[in-house]
Amino acid sequence: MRPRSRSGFTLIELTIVVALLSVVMVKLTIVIDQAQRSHQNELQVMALENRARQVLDRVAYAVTGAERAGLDPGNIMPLDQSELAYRISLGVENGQTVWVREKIGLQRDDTSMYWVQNEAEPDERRVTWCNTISQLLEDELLNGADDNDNDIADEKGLSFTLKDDMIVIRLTLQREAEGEDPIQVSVRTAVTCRN
Amino acid sequence: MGGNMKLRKGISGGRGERSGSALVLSLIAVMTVSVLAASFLQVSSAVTARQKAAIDNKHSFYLAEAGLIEAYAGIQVGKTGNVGTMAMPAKFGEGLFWVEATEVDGGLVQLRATGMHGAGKATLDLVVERGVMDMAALGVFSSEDLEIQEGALIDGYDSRDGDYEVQVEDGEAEALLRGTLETVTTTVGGVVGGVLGGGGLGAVTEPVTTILSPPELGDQVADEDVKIGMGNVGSNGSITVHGSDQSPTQIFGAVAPGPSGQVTLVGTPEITGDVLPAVTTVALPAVQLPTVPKQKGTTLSNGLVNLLDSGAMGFSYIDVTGGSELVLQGPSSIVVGDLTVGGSSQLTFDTTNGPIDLFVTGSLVFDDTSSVATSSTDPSQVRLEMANTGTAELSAASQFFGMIYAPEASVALGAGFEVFGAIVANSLSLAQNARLHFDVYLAELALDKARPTNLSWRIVDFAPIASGNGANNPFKVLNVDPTTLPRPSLAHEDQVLDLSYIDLGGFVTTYLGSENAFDWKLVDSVLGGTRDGLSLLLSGTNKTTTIR
Repeated sequence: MRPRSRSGFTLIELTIVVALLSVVMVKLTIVIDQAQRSHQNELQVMALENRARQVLDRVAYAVTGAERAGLDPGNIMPLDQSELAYRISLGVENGQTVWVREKIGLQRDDTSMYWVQNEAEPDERRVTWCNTISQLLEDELLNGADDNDNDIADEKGLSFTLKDDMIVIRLTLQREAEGEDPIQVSVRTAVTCRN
Repeated sequence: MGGNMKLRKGISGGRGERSGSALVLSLIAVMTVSVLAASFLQVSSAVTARQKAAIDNKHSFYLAEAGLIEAYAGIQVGKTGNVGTMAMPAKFGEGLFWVEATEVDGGLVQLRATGMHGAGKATLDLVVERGVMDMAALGVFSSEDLEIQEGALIDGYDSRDGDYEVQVEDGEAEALLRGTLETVTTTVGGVVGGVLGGGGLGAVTEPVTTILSPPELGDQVADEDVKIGMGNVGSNGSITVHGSDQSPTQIFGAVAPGPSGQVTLVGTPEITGDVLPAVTTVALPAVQLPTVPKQKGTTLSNGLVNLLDSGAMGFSYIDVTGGSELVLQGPSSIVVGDLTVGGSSQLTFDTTNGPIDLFVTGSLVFDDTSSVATSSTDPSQVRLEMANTGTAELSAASQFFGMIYAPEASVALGAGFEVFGAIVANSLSLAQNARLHFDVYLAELALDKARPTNLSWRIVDFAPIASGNGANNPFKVLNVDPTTLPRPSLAHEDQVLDLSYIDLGGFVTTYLGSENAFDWKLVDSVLGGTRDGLSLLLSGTNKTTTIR
């Protein structure tokens, strides 16, 4: 009589293997999914940080060329301002400096930053530099108190303050994330007017 | 039997095959994770590259600013403002910069600085107006030969430190302790300025005329030859100083004749500073008259106090006489033809609300019955300037706190007219017992005015370097070897330097040649010189000006 073939798996073996494989695959999927989400989140934060730095640099370079005496408002300590009017030099003609007026501020429910040159003039130029400004600076609440310990209360997402001859610029960008808390990134810098 | 063997083999072979399946699964898992990691890395690299570009731009911006600062500092000391070139920029850290200076009408200079770092490039523009040295820094100066009569007192003080009387008491004591210049005949090669004795006059029984030769190359300047006071006296010609036991003359400062002039001591004057001639003559710029509304002349003889309101105004003449007083109220800018104060009258400069500039285009007379007063003891508040050639007779018995500037006129100072501030004239005549006190604060103010003024600063461009081979390396982009590039202080445009100085060994030395080839570390103090023909110093009396 021929001996019975022993190849193949028993039902119990198969069941256990499938169960084990399922657990491993589920865990693997969860890990990969978390990694992807985390990566996506990090990417978004990095992109937002990058964007915040770019916008802050743009504002800083614009304000650096401003004339200190011509800042409007000129005395913005201790309160902060979300709008700054100034004039920059286009050069010298016939021994006189040629100035042009510019302004940086917020619009559209304080979530969009604009830059305008020669406002209300026929040659006005207006550009939106960023439309993801947070309505309030990071960690700040609209309660009349200084929640984020920077000596200013209820400051908006774009804030100018004057400290001696320096202008401190604070900026918070915010981006909504699906199913998550909004992502916020804050940056700040201080510049001295060169004119 | 053979079939079973086969079967067993097959069974054995199957187990071996099945034991490899775990490895395959592991490999698949590892590869999946690797692919994910690789994609994450690629994305992160792209973000990092963008961040680096922003950082490079910022570095380039600061390099360009460093270039502007270097060029500005150069202009301050008489350089052209050009620092490096695109072919040979200045190396600074891991980047480089160069500055192009362009002269613009009206004494303006446009400085364009380009900084490069990594892949960034920034260009900034700065327009400055060259400063003009205020002649008040000269102290007591006469363009023509100057003769100081017996009994004169010329010294220095600082109006910010309080009353002159308190300051001078301490200053004189210290100066006398250091010694005075005895009257001896100097010889070339000997100690310049004579032998310094220990306080008081030397043993001279009769007046001796001493002619001091200018120092020659190789002369060693004595250590004691250091200015204590700042009552410096200068001239483009020769200076004669009289002094005697009965009427001692004391000069607490240096006496500097012109390059071809000499100092003659008659009798026993006391001079605490050196007597080295200036290396170059001083050109006194003409007075710039302001544009003011003109009025007719006026004579005040009512015996009353007459107030002249502040503002800008002109008169063909003003005559104050008959015991009257004319009060000029600042801030004012007044242009007068002839100004005469006599007949026991007084002229008062009221600078309570601002400074007063009084310009005289004709003659100026304060006779010996008149008086002149200032409401403040700050000499920087009053300027009395004589435009055109003319004469000024200042004989009023008064203490005048202010600056007198008459680059083309002759000024005769009476004994009673004591000046606190500065007096610079084409020709200066000092009567016996003249009293002149130079306020060193005016010299500091003059240096401030000499600084270039910023008119316009702006960002011209943030142009990234074109991509390609070496795009992240500015040295490769410009095709320069970083090891051969000069540092910023050595990258200024070369100029011809004609310098007379005291070296570290105390010897008078001269240099003529390329400034970039000159080692400034050899210089202890500068006596004078020119850079491309332009004077480094106003006069040889000032050894403390920063040249470099």
